Amino acid sequence: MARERFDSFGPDKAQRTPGLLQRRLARMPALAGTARRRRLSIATVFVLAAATLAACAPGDDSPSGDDKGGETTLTADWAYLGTMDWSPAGSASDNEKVLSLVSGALVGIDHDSRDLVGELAESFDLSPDGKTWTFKLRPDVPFEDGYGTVTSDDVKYNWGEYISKESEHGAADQLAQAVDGNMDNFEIVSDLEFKLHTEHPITTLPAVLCSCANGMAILSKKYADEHTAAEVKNLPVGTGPWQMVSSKVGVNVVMKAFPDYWGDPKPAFDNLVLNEVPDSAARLVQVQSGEADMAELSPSLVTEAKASNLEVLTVPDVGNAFVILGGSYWDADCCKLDADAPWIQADDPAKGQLIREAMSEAIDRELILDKIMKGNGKLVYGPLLEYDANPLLHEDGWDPPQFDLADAKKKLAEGGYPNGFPVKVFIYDIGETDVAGISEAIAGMWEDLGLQVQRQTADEDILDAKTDAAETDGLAWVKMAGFSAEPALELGRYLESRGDDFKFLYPAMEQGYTDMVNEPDRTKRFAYARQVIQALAEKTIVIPLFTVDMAFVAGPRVGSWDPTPGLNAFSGFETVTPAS
Amino acid sequence: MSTQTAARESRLPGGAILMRLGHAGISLFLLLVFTWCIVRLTGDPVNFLVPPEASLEQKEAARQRLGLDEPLPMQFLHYLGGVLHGDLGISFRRASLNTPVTSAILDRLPATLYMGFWALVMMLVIGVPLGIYSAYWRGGLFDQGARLLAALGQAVPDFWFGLMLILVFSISFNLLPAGGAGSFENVILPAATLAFSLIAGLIRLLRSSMIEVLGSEYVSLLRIKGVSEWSILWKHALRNAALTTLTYMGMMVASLLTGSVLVETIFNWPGIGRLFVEAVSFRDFPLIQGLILVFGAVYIGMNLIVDVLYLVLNPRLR
Repeated sequence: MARERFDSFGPDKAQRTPGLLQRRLARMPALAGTARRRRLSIATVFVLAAATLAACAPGDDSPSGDDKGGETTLTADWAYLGTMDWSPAGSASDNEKVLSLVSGALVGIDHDSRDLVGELAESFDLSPDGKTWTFKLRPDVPFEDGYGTVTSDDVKYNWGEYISKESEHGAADQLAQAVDGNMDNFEIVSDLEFKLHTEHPITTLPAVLCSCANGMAILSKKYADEHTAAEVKNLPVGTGPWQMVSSKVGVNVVMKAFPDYWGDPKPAFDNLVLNEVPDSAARLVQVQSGEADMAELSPSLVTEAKASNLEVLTVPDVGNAFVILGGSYWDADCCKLDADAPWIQADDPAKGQLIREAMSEAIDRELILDKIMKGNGKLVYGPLLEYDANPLLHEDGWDPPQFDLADAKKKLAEGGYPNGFPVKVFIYDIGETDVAGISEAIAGMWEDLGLQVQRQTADEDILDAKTDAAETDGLAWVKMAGFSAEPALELGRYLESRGDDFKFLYPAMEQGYTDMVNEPDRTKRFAYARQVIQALAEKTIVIPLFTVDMAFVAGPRVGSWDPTPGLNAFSGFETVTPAS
Repeated sequence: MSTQTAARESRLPGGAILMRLGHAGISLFLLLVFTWCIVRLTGDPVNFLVPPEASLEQKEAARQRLGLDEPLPMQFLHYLGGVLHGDLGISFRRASLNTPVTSAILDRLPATLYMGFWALVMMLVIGVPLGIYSAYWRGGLFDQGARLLAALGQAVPDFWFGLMLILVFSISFNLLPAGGAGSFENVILPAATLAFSLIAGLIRLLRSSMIEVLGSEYVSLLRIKGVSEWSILWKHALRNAALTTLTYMGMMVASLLTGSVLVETIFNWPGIGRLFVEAVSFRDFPLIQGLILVFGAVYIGMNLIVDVLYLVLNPRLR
């Protein structure tokens, strides 16, 4: 034994040399004094270091996730909470999703019919010539902290900020178009009524302003006038169900319920804490352990969440996923059609279509929906704009393409490529939808069809650079179009006339868009949208896949929740009720 | 030995220290240049900072605001000039709030130091006794247990160990919080995760050093003199064995700060590790550069301290 080996060197106490021991003992007092001082110094340094480090402990400036002191707190984990510049002009990207909880919007969406309805605006009407929008505001809607009630002045202030040069808002162009880029065309009729004049009709304006699209936030002008720009950026004052308490970039946003919120229902919790937790697994364990009540959930974790007896909730129809085949710039001036691509074959378009159909039929959509999306979506007939929950964007008899590998192989041969052809599948990640997983699955299915698939894994902006330059020949990629209350808004991102980012182009889309934006009647606008869907689906210009639902996980403290349909973010926290 | 000779030997060689400082400065400069170049190969950060539907004009305006429209050499010179004046630039993600990189880092650094401190305490309190007694009872059950722990610590990835701790202590037994910050309880699991692999390394290194030292003649002599086993182990043998582990300790202390990226992400700990993940996600060039500079400075600083400590502890190296 090692112990014995070392002990064997040790002599018995009786054998110790008295002389040595005595000499050691004689030196002890001096040594003891030095050692004591040294120990004291070390202890002092350690205590000082510990005290300093203790002061480094990150403070908890948020209400606890548990209910303490009689107050209830709802805690939710988001992947990213934006740049946390809450001023109207800085309200971009993820910011607006958070800001909408505080601000309130002019227009909202009916959760059942998906019709646009008034929120801060009681009514909104377009003149018969399509050049003037008239908005009437809801009376007596209070701002937080006693900054009066919402008036036309407040709306004008926000409108001006949103179309300013500094604005980063994605809808800035459309908001500017509504007043021809000049705030003089914003006419205040009264405190509760204003008109927007333009020579360029914008029929889809209510959808741009909708809370369902993180539309324009309405913040208090009086507050902005009385405070510095920095204060406005940090603490916005709106009319929403929640009041901003504090925000720390990359960490959290703390809010409290606004007791005088005009809407219904009012928040059932006293406080709301939004934590930024980029990692999806970390978000789930936070809910599993009770640290958070709700969290965004990656589809890959749905099974695990359910196994933990947590409730998986979904926001339906946040997007429509489809596959774009590169070089599909049909009849475009800006971009060159890849005439020799197997899926185009400009000299024999019927064969090109057979190839596209073969590639479509080779995709087992149900398998992808089941295994990758964990059921969070629905098969669709058409790409880009179809959502079967909205009767205006779906027609009876529109059946999704069926998986039929044998027929696909037959069509591949008829299309002139019995032995397949090379195709590069771009694989990238976006948000919480597993686009990479879907792309990988499709790549594998095309290999089963006999195509020579090359996978290119990279960030989305590599793809963006290719679409900006319209250099997509030989490439295929999965795209998820976002839901919009007005199909024209989403369609506008795929047009030659409006685009600087060319994913694919097709004349029916240009025509459909022009028809839609010039049509004041909403029902007719949606009829044009259905025509676009049908044109794209019949010719398989792109390959439709399915609509996508966004998954969230809720812990045991959450009872019910009624989020805004189609919005790919947390929303409607005021509708969350505590579990009974 | 004359008094003069003793005094000369007790002094630290200033030239050697200055030379090491010079090396550290050059290393940091090279790191700065390399980082500046490499982050620019990752693509255009503007795509991450403006909404997907932003127009080309909005993107160009954002580019101008961030100074990305200037030629690359000018961008570098501006950056270098700023760094020499202690200005690491403005964080892209926080540009509209005009938050300097230094503020963003200093805001998060205390949390990382706090977690690192407790990980260090755990590492020393657990790792040192295990390393010492594993060597002392070499081949025994205790040794085998400690070696198993060391093997596990080095083989198990931090993120997996962290998730297991959460599973056991937060989800199954509800004893400790799974993340966040605010109380001492919050730091226990992340610090334990961070310390686990470091404990393993410390056990292995200290054990082998202690075995060597305990087999040496002067330890036999101490025993012959009747010095207690506790004193032999903790005062005499550890002091000599610690010299070998000093380099490793230096790197360990550095990795407590820099290796916290995964741990902070899993436990949602608001330190510089998570800040780094955030910076990379948003292609926040100035913040990435600033953080890598800080990480590099920590490593280089620790190396420097270890070098100086070597000179202090071992006069033969002077």
